[in-house]
Amino acid sequence: MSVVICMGDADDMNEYIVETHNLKKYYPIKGGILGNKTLGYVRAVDGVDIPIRKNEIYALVGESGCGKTTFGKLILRIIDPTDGTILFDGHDISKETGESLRQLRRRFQMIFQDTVGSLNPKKRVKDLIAAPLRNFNVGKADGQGSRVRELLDLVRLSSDYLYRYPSGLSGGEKQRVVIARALALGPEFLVLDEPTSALDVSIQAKILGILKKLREELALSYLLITHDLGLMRTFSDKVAVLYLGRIVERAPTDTVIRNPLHPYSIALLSATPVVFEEERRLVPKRVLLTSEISDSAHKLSGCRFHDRCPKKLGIICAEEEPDLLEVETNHFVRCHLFR
Amino acid sequence: MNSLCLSITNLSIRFHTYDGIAAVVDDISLHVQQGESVGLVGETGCGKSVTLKAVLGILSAPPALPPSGKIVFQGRELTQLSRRARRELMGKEIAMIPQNAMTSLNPTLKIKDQFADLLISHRYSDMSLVSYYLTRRQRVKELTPKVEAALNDVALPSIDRVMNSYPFELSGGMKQRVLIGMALADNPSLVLADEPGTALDVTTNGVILDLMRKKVEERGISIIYVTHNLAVARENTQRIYVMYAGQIAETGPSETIFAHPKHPYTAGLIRSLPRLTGGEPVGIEGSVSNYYTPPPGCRFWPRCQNVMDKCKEEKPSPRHVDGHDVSCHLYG
Repeated sequence: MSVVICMGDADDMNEYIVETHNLKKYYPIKGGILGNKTLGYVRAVDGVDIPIRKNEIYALVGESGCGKTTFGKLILRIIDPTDGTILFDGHDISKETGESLRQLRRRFQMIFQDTVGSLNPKKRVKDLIAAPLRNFNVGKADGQGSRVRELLDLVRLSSDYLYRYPSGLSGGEKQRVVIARALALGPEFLVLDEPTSALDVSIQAKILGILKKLREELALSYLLITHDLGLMRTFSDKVAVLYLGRIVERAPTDTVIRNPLHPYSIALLSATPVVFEEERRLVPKRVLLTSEISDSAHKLSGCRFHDRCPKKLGIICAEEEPDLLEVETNHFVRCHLFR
Repeated sequence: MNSLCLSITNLSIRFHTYDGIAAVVDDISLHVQQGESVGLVGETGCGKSVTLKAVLGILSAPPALPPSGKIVFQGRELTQLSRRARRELMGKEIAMIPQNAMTSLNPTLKIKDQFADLLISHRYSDMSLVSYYLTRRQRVKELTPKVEAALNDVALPSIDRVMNSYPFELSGGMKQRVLIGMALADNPSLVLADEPGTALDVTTNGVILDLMRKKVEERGISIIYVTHNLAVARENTQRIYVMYAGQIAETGPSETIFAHPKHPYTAGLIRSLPRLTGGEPVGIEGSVSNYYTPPPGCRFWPRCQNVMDKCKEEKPSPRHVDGHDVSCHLYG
């Protein structure tokens, strides 16, 4: 295994691998003749608090444009937050820069949705997986070779694959190479951004099996970004439902499926197509949402869901934003219905 | 009993490529009754979309070699028809709803104009280019009420705004609705839907599929849904064909095919699905073999758990088992 960098205190001091407090990312909308005036902000992520325990799989669900991926990139410091703190293993990493941030990157990695775009088509599998090792000068060339073999073994690819190019791999094999590369430096935490949405279901199940097994073998923690509720159910321990940059509901996965409380979570669940009868019992009657997701730049007052909400209470929803309240143990909901 | 709308017998489609001849669709037969919704499900690259394109006659050849087999639409053998006669059927009698709503509309024309163009092409198909341009303004005006009615039919709000919008001004769901409206505008008898709404958000997609199902049922249109999403097929069709590597593995009623799968591939596919009720999805070992040198016999045998010697030699023919037609040596 590679060297684990210890930052200050011993690892076991903290229960949480990642904690965010009031994390925000605003993108300015530029206008004016010279494009130098700020007309407003797109509030991609707007005050999100998520605690991820060690060895936990935390799912983040929501529709396109709700800020899921932005959040994933924020906590790995791929983009800089506008405000808020990110505690990684108890240390605030939101202000880290330069070499100390680079060293931190050994400890967390991201797996992207687009397997084709994630792999340089001109490099062989061997070099792709060894790239992070070379980057951080881990081991000599021969040591790197055996580490690469070890990593391929972890994702259940034979060493025949070492000299192949990405073009000679199937979608599932490409994703395995991406996972192997992400694991090269022995990270503790992975962000999985729609890891299987480009794969067929029969392959998807295999990849998920590998990821689950790796979590146990290497004591990893995951943040799973997805829009597939079935995937979320079978793969995650806890879930946060995101709507326009805000968490609307947060609970253990089973609770959200069996007892969704926020009208948006209910609408999302009701729109999920299912195959089996026993699943159908979990799906509420289809909720018709009148319009489509609104523009996060312009909606400033009240609950962000109020214009589409089938259970709108009245003026209070449009004017006052509800707080994220714990309505039952570990079940947080942001809605005026539950006050 | 309904009359037959479309029947495909022993259709094979091969592509000429640098690596050799790829037998992408291999001897498939399927049929659709008038007014029936049929699902064609399978994983990426199993030949679903190619089959649809062959029905519509829009396969680009080359690289495709002329398909062999019969495609009979309402008593007419499509492969024997002239290009012109087939063009006549397109849109009017066989319509297609494309997969990608974002790129299927012309970005340079207002919805009103491109919709009217479509209707003009259905009505005056032998018009010359010159007379098209000379009469276009007049025709668009004539057809505007028809466009309005079609858009109204797909429950689009503020139709005036939509008609005078360019596609980029509409949301994904609205674009998908416009495309459905276009497909249904001239009351086709068969609609081919290629992964409708896959690019949309789940909440929007659910509403769109509901709408489509309702329209199709109301008007007694036959529809083929091509999709890789088993749940979507389960909820929107009466009968399902499961395709694997260019062959049809199994067909049966949507209610029972997933509850009591007969073919090992269907069963494997179902075990792979993540379910809302939890549990561990299993997956299928291996991956789809290539199409240049497909395995002899049943194309699924290299991945099959129940493989027998016979499977490696002889291609199974469909057998009727408990209301399903299964192509597998396990049954006889």
